[in-house]
Amino acid sequence: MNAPRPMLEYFPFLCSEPQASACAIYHCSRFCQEQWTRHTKTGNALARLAALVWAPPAHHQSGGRLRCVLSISLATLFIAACRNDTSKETHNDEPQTQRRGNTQTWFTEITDEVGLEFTHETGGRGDLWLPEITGGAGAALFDYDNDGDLDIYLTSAHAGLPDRLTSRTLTNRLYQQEPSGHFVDVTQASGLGDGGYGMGVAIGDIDNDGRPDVYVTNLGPDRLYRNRGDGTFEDITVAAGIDVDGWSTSASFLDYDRDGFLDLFVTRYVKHHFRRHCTDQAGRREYCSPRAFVPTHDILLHNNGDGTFNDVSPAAGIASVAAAGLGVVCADLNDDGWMDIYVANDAYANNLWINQHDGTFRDDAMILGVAYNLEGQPEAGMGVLAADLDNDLDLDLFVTHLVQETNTLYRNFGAATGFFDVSGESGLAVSSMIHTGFGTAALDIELDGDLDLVVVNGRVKLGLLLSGAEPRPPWDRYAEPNLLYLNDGSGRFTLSEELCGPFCNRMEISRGLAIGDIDADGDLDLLVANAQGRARLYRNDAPRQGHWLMVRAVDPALRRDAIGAKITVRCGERSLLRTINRGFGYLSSNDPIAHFGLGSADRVDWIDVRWPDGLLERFPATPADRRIELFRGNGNAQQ
Amino acid sequence: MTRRRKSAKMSPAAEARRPSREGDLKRKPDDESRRTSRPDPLDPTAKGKHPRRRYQALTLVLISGLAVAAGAYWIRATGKGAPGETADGNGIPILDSRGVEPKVAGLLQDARSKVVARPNSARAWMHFGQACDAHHLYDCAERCYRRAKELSPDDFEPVYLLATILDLQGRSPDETIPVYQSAARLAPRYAPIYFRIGEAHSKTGNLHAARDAYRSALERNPNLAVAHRNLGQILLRMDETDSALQHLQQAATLSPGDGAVLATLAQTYRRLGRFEQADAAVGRARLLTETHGVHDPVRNKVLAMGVSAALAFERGKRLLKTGNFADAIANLTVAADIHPDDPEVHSALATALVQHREIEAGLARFARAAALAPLPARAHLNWGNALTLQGDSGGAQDHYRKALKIDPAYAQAHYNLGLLLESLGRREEAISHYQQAASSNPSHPAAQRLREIGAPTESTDERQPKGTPGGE
Repeated sequence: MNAPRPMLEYFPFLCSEPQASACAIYHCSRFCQEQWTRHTKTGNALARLAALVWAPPAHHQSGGRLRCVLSISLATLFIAACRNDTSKETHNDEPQTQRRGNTQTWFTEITDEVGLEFTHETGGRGDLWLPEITGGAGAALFDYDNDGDLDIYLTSAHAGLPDRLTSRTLTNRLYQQEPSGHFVDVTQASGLGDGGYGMGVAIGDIDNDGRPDVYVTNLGPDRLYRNRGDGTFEDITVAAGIDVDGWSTSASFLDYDRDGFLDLFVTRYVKHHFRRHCTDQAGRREYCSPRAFVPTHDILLHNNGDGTFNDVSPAAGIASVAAAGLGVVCADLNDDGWMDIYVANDAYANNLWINQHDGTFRDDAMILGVAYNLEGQPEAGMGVLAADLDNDLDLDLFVTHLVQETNTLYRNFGAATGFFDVSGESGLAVSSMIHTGFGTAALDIELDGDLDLVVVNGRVKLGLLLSGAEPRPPWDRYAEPNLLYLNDGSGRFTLSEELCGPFCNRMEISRGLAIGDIDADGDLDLLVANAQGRARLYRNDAPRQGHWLMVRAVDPALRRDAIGAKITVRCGERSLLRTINRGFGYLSSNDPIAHFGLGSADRVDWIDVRWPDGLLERFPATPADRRIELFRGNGNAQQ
Repeated sequence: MTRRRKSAKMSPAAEARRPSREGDLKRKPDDESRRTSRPDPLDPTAKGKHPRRRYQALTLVLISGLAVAAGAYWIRATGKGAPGETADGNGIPILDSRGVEPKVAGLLQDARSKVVARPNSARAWMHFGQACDAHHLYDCAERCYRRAKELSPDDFEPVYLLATILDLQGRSPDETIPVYQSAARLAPRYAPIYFRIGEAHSKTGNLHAARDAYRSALERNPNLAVAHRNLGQILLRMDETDSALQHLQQAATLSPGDGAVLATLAQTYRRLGRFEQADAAVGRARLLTETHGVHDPVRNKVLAMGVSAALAFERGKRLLKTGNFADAIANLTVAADIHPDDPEVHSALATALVQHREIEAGLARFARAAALAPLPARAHLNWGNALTLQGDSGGAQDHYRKALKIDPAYAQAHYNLGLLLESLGRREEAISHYQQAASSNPSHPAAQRLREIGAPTESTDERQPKGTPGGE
């Protein structure tokens, strides 16, 4: 199950060669592979040289002994390079952890296997415009054609800011999953090829016709696309009365007023302009921080139910705060049955908009302990999620941050107490301090009944070049590995690089992350959107430690997923809470399925659904290892 | 070692097909010869070198390969002068000066030349390290501090600065805490060390150790506001709410401008059921955008060495906040000279000039900043203040209103506009703005003014601003 390593691509033919030196190199490379978990530039260069020396069979007709001599010398150099680069990684890059050779890979990259051919371009041409490095590379997993499998939507930028804003040469792409599991680019036919300077994507059924619609956030005007149901989309931005310009980042659908129609929250970053250049402390040109620009307020769009939206930000109180918003998650965080909104701001205090049940919100982030970290510092919030990470049946908040800051876990201690930053106690702080985190997701990778965490990383400022960085210079100095944390069930996490495989070993500039069961095998897979690089799909091949259940919660009257519903399953003495939510992470939209790893339980005793309008229904026992759909009204209403 | 031995071993298939050296010499079938096209080593007319010379060549290449490998290993092991490394053969950092501002490059080069001239001088290494540190060249700084520490093991500063550099690079507390502890042994009375140890412990989740470290910091400096703040946070987390409240109140007294203190204080009041106090604390916190760091003279000495525009700008802003307008102008002028197209620098300089009562110069800078980019609400507020000082009430109104258009809940802009309107006899409009200013914070001067003029204090807008700047 080990992923193929680029370094070895040059060697397979050598194994069948009769010459000792050839096999010496081969075994040497094996040795290196065991020492290295990632290929390095030195290794690749030597491997290429070796391949030249031991060129394909046609060239083997002459110079055998010379080749032999060169090969042995190369083998020697190879070992030296191995030692060199390994020690470099350990010393400079990852002081906390040792990357060990994989014995088993939990995430297998299947990008090529399924034909996902998408490469993101930032359009950067050396001017170091902030949108190149902060935004872009959003991802969505959704079933746009209602054929039962997940399709992929990826946002894109294109050549050169600022003229890029008017020259629309590259577009966002839609990939349809075929029954074989292969993905086909259907952008042109679908009409979803938005040409804006793409940031993120939010998916939601705005007209309750059972078909997911698409909202695209841009640097420039955002767009809303209505799903016609025949595989095509129409741009209804103007008709819907949406006029969101500037720099939007993450967006999420929610029904905040319980009228049955999905409203939309759009985070916005700063008022960017192209006259501002920044330098680092030594005076070298560098990407600006958000503090170099004027921050903007976020936007709440109310769905009028007739295909139009109203900007209600001022009336709802949202417009009273200007901050550099990047991530958003909508969920009932104080357990009062109404959807709240948590916004991760970059270099500003975060906002927790508590629903006042009258169409307005109040920012209680400070008083509930989620505005700052434990040291009282506002952090550079990027990606965000709300999930029950400590199995106590309430929603905790997790936010990814900049290098030198920790990723932060705010544990929910109940409505009366609020939240506390428990990043250190939970084992999430130290390991994240050398990375800049963006997309994130909580999922039960090995089906043992608790939520694990994945974080995708990529710098926003130049850093030391890490071995194996994949983007071409100068982007390679922004590349970082991703992180996978396993939960012990109590909300304590352990970094698990040795199991993670290429998901953690690839050095890229990752931004968006979407999760969903792409291969319909009962576990959740990962879609990573990289800036200035290929989007990658990772299949979950983790050894299963239990059974699973996937729950889709549908309101038949609304003909759509019950976004915001809370699903609690009971199995034996254990209860597990998940939510129906598409919008979390960074610039991304996920499959709105409540996925439960059940551990050893092969059935659940009952399922409670707290519908978004507050109704609580109980559904009867069901066997595990299957997907089920729960329809509102079919359960027993509870007090 | 087992793996190394294995690496020299061939696969069985290759072993079976491998021609022995002896076989090479003996066997010369035509087909084999054609297949390999090797010259016959015994045939003097054959092309190629004599076998002995060939083996000599082989040996030579092998030896060179081994020598290169050994060299590479030694270089790596000793950390000296490897290609692409940032140190020369003597371990003195080499700096890539591409793109570095000339003044910065000059300072660094000067510091480095002193180390080259006196490689055994701890002072020279320290100076070079501080110069690198000031400009965030942490790899260079780390090397220099380590060397200075070796040369002068009883000196506190290299050890402490090394620890802070490791911290700034995001290194693990497992690595930084022992270095801080070494520093503490050398300067046991220096409170910031214990504060930083506390921060490191809290990152590892060791709350008891963090609490003890903050207490140690406060034993050495009872007025260290940030230590009170962080200790309060830790105690709140540990459910010692009453003690937490004491420390947070102390922090708020010592450092009234620290928004984070008030936010945590609000959380504490809420937990104690003192909701009114909680709301009041949040109201005040929302008006404060600053979160204070630890007062650390050793680090401040380093920061003072920074000569780049970015550092001059940061320093200028800091001085502006502390009311040292003359020095702020000096620093901001340096930054503006290096980056004449930076609107933020011009805006800050304009504010400093106005505060220093150089109104004309300040207004010119505001105009220059506005020509470069849209200005934030705070800049329009200050621009309005400058025009008020100059007696241009119309222009001042325009800018206050621009500030309020950008940030409708900007209390200071409401208040200042209210004062201006009141002075112009537009009492009702002024009251409306006072009310809006007071709505975000009952203790705002606007509320006091409303009481003074006998106007109702009720607000027309219940919304609370957050992250909005205060007036300057």
